[in-house]
Amino acid sequence: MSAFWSLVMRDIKLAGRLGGGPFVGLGFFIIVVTMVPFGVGADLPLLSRIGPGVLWVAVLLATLLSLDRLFQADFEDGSLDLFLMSPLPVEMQVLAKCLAHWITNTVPLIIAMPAVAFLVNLETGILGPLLVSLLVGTPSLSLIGALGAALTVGVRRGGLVLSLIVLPLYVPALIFGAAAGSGDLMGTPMLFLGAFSLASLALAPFAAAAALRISVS
Amino acid sequence: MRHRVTTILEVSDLACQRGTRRLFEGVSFALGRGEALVITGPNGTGKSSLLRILAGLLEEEDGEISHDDEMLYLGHLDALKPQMSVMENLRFWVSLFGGTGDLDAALERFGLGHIRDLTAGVLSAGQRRRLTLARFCCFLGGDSARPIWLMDEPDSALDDAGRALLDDLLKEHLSLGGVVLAATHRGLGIEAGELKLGEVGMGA
Repeated sequence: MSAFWSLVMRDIKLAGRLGGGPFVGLGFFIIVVTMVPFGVGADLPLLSRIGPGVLWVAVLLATLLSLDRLFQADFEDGSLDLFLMSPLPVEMQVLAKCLAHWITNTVPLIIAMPAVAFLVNLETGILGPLLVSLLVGTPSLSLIGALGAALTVGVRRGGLVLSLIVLPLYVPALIFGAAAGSGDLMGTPMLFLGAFSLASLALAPFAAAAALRISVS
Repeated sequence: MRHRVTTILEVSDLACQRGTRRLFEGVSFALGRGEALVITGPNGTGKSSLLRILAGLLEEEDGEISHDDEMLYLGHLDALKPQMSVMENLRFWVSLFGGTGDLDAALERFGLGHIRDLTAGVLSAGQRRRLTLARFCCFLGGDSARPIWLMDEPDSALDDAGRALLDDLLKEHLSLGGVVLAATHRGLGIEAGELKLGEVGMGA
């Protein structure tokens, strides 16, 4: 197995064996969405109008929850030192960790989406575009999140700083994601969302790798 | 400075600054195949920093480092995941660094064969150190993927038997043409040059 895939498999394995595994993020996501009807009241037309936006915000928050440990555990136990010396380029390691994070954290949310969408009275016709918008847009959340996690890896209680760095950067994904999730499958918002994901795929690994190199010294 | 045709690691006039403190300067040495260097000195004189600079994890303040071969690093931390088994930990690192060698034999050699499926979280400090050393078994000799070994107090937490195993491992590595640089307080049971940090006129 190549070094890239052995790193992906390792992170998936670790995520599954950590207390609660992938169900913590999923449970958090479900609870956040459940809170919304309690907050805005049982106004069904209103709920279905704000539904895509609410679901996207909940996905953002659930993603943020697991990001602070993306590199921190490896930093604390010395694994990061070895990562930086390994023959696999650090940029590829960041990609591998993002892929594992996306699979263990975001994919369960997307799978649960049809059931959870019911809680905000989402119209059935919207579910398809919403799922596509999540598949297209959420990889950027893991990638940008990796940049924030790399910048705060040596910071105590870095999770809070991480949120301040990462959430503003999530705004384009949220704007285009929520718009794409309530509209055309191939409309302008969806195309912009795809462009945003591709741009973060191109830039975030390099920025995160540079941040990691600084943080170990 | 000695010059050899087989020199594979050469350091000249290396200096290290941490914050406002100059830890060391003017450190020069050269190592050829089958040679070892032990770095000694009181606490805080830069033994670990020197190894981290060589490993490329820390920026040098001044000086030059040249090496023909790749390095393998052993730090204070074990880089072991408590959620993964002994075997999974070993297999992951060896595959990431492109090591060759029998993983089971490596575990047996350090007396960990009977606990290969136990999670690393329940190991004692000495067993954890043995597991990190077992990683080095897969990079033995000058022809391996990582022939230059940088080891920061490799004997910490080891019992007498463990220390003997470590010495055996280092001897075998050197006899196969590998290179060892180790920071240590108690000395190692191998023939090695000595680099004393924290003294005037450093050099080997």
